[in-house]
Order: sequence, then structure tokens, then C-alpha cells
Amino acid sequence: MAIAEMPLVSSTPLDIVELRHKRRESALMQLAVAARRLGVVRDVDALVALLARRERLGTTALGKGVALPHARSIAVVRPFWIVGRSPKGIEWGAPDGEPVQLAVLYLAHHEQSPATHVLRLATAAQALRQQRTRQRLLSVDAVAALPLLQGGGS
Amino acid sequence: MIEVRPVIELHDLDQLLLLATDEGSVDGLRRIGYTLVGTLALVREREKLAAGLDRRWLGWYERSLGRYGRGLTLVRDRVCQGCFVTLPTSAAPPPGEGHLHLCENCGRLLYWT
Repeated sequence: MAIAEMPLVSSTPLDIVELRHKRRESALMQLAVAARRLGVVRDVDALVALLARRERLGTTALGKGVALPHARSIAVVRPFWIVGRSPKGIEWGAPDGEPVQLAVLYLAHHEQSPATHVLRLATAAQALRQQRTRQRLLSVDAVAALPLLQGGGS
Repeated sequence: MIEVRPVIELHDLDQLLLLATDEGSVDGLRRIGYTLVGTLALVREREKLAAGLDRRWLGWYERSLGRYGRGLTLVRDRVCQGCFVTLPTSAAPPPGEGHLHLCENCGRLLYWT
């Protein structure tokens, strides 16, 4: 396998959170608090502020019930994925108007280059385009979710 | 002592603006499917954040940003992650707290936790 073809998400751990909120801001807050609980972030308020600013750059909802919020921050201790699930859906300003059932937060250290950051997001987005992947992510545990997010295991 | 969070927020916002203005990154983000609406609102937020900072610390931040491409650098195990010089024990923050420090070797503004 060529280096460029190697899965890019595999070395980054993942956790799953059941989202209780119906608003995007509250859901992002819940994901950030989960990151703090997991020891992934030093300053939860700084992360929440950054996630809100990222949404002001344009919604992170991609359509088909998926949002892919992301942060590259000095407050992040180590790279991490947090999959937030909301079977009822959250209004996220998606281009197709559909509520978001899967909010997949990617946290990266600030030293990660913009190019690498975009590449990590692209890998996850590609996996999330598959309906089967999205459906399985709504029910599997964190161990099973990681290979799904890297485009395998389906 | 200066509050650390506004400086962290300024740093992270600058890195977000870098991502949002880099041609290759913007192209990549659009190919992923993101809708980007422009950076004007974020640039205004940056101005507000910067205006609220102590001028002396802002000057050090801006100097680090201009010289090294980022305004804030981490300290790990008492080592400046910009120039890798070991910092004096006496300058370390109390456990569990973060503070800002100026590296006497390279002049980078440091976030020390």
C-alpha cells in the first residue's frame, strides 16, 4: 500500500457521545465537555469559542444528516474524534435542510498543518458519504466506529 | 497577571483564519462539501479580541506571529517547543494552571501548562 493510500484516521482515538440537545450550539458544547472529560482538551471554553467561530465561517453540516465540525487548537492535548449521535436530529443549517443525526467532531493539535487537517477531514467525509456507514455509526460502539470512520469495516 | 484565555482564543482564531484563507485548504474544504461564507465576520472578531488584550502582551503575540507564523507556542516538560531551550524551574506555573511566558532565548510567547 502506498503511503498516500494508508488510512489516515487509524492512529486517532475515538469516543461516542449520545447528544441530548436539539440546538447546534448546545450539541457542540456537549461534545466539547466530553472532550474535557476525556482529557483531550485543556480549556473547554476556548474550544467552544473556536467551534462557534468555525460555524460562523459556514455551517459544518455536510448534508444527509451528517456534520463534521473540527478544531485545530492549542487547547487540544492530542488528536481525537468524538462522534455525537442524535437519532431525532439537530438543526445545523445543512445545505439539504436535513437535521443532523451524526456530528463527528475532529480535534487536532494546533501544530497540525492545514493540509494534513483537511486531508483527515476528507478521509472521514468520504466514509460518511456511504449510507451504510452512517447507519452503522448510529448504533455501534467506539471500537467498531473507528474503522467505519476510516472507510473500512463496512 | 494577564488572562490566558483571550490569547488562546486569538491564537486559535488566527489559525482558523489561516485555514480559511489558504487557497489549497479552502479548495479542499469545498471539495469535502463545506459551505464557506467568507472571513469578514471572523476578521472583525479578531479585531475585537486583540483590542481587549494588554498592549504589551499583544505586541509580543504579534511579533511571534509575524516572525514564526504563530503567536503562541507550547511549553512541554519545561522546554520551549519553538527553540527547544529548557526554561527555568522558577518560571513554571502552579500545577493545573496555565500561564503566559516569554521565551528569553527566542522571544516566542509561550503557553505554559
